[in-house]
Amino acid sequence: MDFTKTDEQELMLENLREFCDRWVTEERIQDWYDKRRVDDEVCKAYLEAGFGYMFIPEEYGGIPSDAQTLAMVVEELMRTTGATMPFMSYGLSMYDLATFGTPEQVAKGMEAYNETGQQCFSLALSEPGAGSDNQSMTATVHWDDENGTCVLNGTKTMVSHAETAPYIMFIGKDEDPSHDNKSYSMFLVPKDTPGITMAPLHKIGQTSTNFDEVYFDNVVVPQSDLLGEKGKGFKQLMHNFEIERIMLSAHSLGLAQAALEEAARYAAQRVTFGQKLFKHQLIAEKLTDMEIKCQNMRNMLYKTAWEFDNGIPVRLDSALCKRYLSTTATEVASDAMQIIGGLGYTTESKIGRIWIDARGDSFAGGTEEIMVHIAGREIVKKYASDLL
Amino acid sequence: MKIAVLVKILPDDQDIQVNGDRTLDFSRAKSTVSTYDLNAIEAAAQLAAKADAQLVAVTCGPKSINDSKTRKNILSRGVDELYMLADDGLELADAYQTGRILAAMVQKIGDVDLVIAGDGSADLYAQQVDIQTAEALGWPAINGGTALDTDGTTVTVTRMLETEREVIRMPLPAVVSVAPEVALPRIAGMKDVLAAGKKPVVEFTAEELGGIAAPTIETVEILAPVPTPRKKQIFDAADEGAIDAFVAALREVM
Amino acid sequence: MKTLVIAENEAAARELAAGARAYADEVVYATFADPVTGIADKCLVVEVPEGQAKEAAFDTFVKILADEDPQMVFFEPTRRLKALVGRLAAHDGASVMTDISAIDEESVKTRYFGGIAERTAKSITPVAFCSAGAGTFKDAEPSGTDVVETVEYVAPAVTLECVERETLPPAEVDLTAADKVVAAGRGFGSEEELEEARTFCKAIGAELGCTRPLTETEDWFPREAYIGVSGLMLSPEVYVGIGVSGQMQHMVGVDRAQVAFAINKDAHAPIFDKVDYGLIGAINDVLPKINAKLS
Repeated sequence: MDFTKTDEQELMLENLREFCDRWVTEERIQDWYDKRRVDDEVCKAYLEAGFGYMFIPEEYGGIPSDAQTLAMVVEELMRTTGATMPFMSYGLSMYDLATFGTPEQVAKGMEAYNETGQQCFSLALSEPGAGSDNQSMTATVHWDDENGTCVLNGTKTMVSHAETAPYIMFIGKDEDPSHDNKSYSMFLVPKDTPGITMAPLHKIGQTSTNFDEVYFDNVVVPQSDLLGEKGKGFKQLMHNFEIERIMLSAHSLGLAQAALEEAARYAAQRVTFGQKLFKHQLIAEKLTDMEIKCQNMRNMLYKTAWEFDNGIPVRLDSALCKRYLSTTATEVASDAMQIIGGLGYTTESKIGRIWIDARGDSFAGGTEEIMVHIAGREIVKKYASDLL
Repeated sequence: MKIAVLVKILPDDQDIQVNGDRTLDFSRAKSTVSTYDLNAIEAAAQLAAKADAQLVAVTCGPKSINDSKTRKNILSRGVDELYMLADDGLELADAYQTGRILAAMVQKIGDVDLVIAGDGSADLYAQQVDIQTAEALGWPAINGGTALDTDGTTVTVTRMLETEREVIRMPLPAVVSVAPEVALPRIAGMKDVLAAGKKPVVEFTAEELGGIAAPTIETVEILAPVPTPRKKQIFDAADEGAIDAFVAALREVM
Repeated sequence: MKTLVIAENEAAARELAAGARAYADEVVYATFADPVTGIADKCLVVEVPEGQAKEAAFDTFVKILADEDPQMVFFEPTRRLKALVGRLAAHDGASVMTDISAIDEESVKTRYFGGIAERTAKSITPVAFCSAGAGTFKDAEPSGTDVVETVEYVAPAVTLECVERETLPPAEVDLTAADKVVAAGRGFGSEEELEEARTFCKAIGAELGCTRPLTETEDWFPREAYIGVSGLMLSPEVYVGIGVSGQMQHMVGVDRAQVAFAINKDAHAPIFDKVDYGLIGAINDVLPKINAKLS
C-alpha cells in the first residue's frame, strides 16, 4: 500500500481548491443552507471540471475512476469548504443508474444531469415504518399487464434531493405489502408524474441538501420505467452500498479535518491567561488526540479504498470505516468547538455547522448501529467460520 | 497553423520563506506555472480552438523546472505539446538570455505562426521576455493584448494602454503578449489531467539551441526589505474610549 | 556621462530628466509629441505617421541611440515604451531593468516576487536601460534648454497597422496621486457595505482602493483600484486598511505609507503588526461610529 498521491491526483486536488475558491464562498454556503439547494451553475461547474463524472462509465461520458481518488476529492471538498457539498454524491448516483438501468434510462439520466448539474434522481427508499429495517416496507407496485403499466403506492420519507432531482427512484414490493414479501421492483419516475406529492422535512444540519417526505398515490407509470429486473430491486440497490460508504466516510473525514485546522489556527492565535491557547496542556492534549483521530480515520479510509480498488472484498472494512469515521468526526468537531470556546457555539464561527453536519453522518447511508449489524456477522465469519 | 505559448516555471511564491538574514528560502516552494502565464495559456488555447491551430508550450529555466506535475499541469490546459530547456545555466537568467533561448526554441520547433506570452513573470515582472523573443526572431510584437484574433495571415490585437485603447493588426509570424484580463484560466478538467501525461514533452539541450548567451544584468543580491517601523498602537472597540482614541489618531493626520 | 530619457507624458519626462541630471552631464530627451522644454539639453521629437502603432518608431529610435550614443537610457514605464525601449535594449544586446525603486552609481533595486524581496542588480552592457515609475526621483528638479529637434522618421520593415485608437475615459480615481488611501478588504461582506467605507473616505479626504479579491473574485472594483503585487504600488501619506487581513501581497503596495491605520475584527490579523494605529472591531459596528464622530 502506497498512499503517495500521483501527479494527477495532486493536480485534481489543486483544481478542486481552485473550483472552491471561485465558486464556493462562505456567503454562498450560507445561502445554500438557507434555501436547501446549491445553485445549478455551481453544480454544473463541478460537473464540467470533471469531478461529477467520476465512476460513471466512459460510454456515457464518465471518467473511469478509483475509490482512492474519489475519497481524496470528497475529503478535500469538505476540508476546503467546511460544509456539506451535496454534489459530492451526484456522480455515484449516476453510477448506480448505470449499474442496473437500460442504456436508454442511463442516457435519459445523463441528459438531465448534464443539463442542470443536479443529481438526476432522488432515492425513495425509507418509509415512516421502515428505515434501517427495510423489510418492513409497505409501498407497493401493482403490475397491470393489460395496460402495460404499473401502479405505485406508498409513503416515502427522508428522500434527499427530492426537490432538485428531476426523477425519483422508487422501490416497492410487488403486489403484496406483507412483511415476508421479498419481491421488490424499482422504477425511475419523473418527479412531476400525477399522483406524486411531497412535503419538506427540516433537518438540523446538512441543509444544503433538500430532504422530503414523498407520497405516491396511485401513480401510473409505463412498465418500461422498471429499473433492472422485476422482483430483484433491493439486491440491485445494495450493489453499490460499499462505495457509497467510502464516499460518506470521506465526507466525515473532510469535515473533521476542517474542524481540526480551524481549531489549530484559533489555538495558535488566541491568548488566555497570558499565553497562546495551544500552550495550555488541556488544549494541546485535545489537539493531539484530534490529530491522532484524523490520521487514523484517513489511514482506515484510504486502506479500505485501496482494497476496493484492488478487488478485495470490503463488506467488513467499509462498514467499520463508516461507523468509525462518522462517530469519530463528530468527536473531533466537538473538541474543535470546545477549543474555540463560546465563540464556537455561535454562528460567527463555522465550527457549529461542521459539528452538526458531522453528526448527520451517523444516520446517512446506514446508521452506525446498522454498521455494527453488518460488521458483527462479518467478524465472526472472518475468525470463526468453522464454528458457524 | 501553429501557436506557441511561452511559459515560465518558477517556485510558488506562497511557499517562499524569509530567513533571519533577509535572504529567501525556497526549500519548501514547489515549482509552479507563473500566475499570469496561465492567462496566456488560456488565451492561446481559446485562439487555437477557434483557428483550429496546434498549440505548443515553450519553457526554459534551471533544471528545477523539469517537474513532472508542472509539465502535466501545462499539458492539461489545452496544450498539445511541451518543449523545454532545463539547464542550470538559466538560473537567474535575464530577459536577453531568456529571449534568445526561447527564440531559438521557436525556430527549432518550426512552422510557428504566432507566439503568445503572458503579462510578466511572478518573480521579476520585467515584462520584457515577449519583446526580447520577438527581436531575436525578427518578428513584430504587440503587448498588453486583451483580445486577439487571427485570419491565418495576420493577427489583430486589442490592447489597453494607460489612457488609450488600440486595435493593432500585424502580419504573421508575430509575437503578442497578453494582459491578465484577456482570459480567465480554466479549471482543467479531470479528463484533461488524466490525458496530460500521455502528451509529448520534447527536451532540448543548450547546445542544440546554440548555447546560452552571456548575461547582460548581474544580480548583486536578493534580500527581503527591511519593514517600515510602526507604532503598533492597537485599540479594542470593546473597550471604553477605544474608538475615540482611534479617531483622535486619525484626526492627527487629517 | 550621457543619458537618454524617453517619456510619453509630461510629468514623467520632468521627473526622469531631473533624475537623470543627478548622474549625467548631458541629458537628451525623446518623445512622440508635445515636447516639454527646459528639462533637458536637447529634446528630440519622433513623429509616427497616422494609422500606425507608436512602436513603429523602433527603427527611428535605433538611429537615435546610435547617433546620441548614451551610456544610460531612462524611460517612463508605459506599456508602449516597455515594448519600444525593450526592443531597443534587445537590439543593443542588453536587457531592461524594469521599474526600478532606487538607483545609485553602481546598481539599481527592483522588486522580486512582487516585493517579497528586493533585487539589487547592475547592468553589465555598454548601455544600461531602466524604467522608473512616478516617485522614484520625487525631489529632483529638472533643468535644461529649449532646443527641440524633429528626428527624421525611419519606416519599419513590418507595418504595425493601428486599426482603431480611442482615448479611454479618465479613471474615476487616481490612487497614485492621492495623499490618503483607504483599502477595502475581504472583511466587507457585500458591495452595499462599501458605502460606509466611501463615507469614511469623504470624511478624511481619501481615495478608496481595494485588495485583490475585491476586483478579481467579487468584481466590486475596477482592476485599477487593486493595491499590491502586480497592481498599484503607492507611497501615500496616510493608509487605512479596513477589513484587510494584511497579506504580504497587498501590504507591499502600501508599506511606504508614512502613517498606517487598520480596522479589523480579528485581533490576530497580521495587519496589526504593520500599522501605527489599529482598531479591533467589526466593520458594521465600528465604521458607522467612526463616521459619526468624524462628521
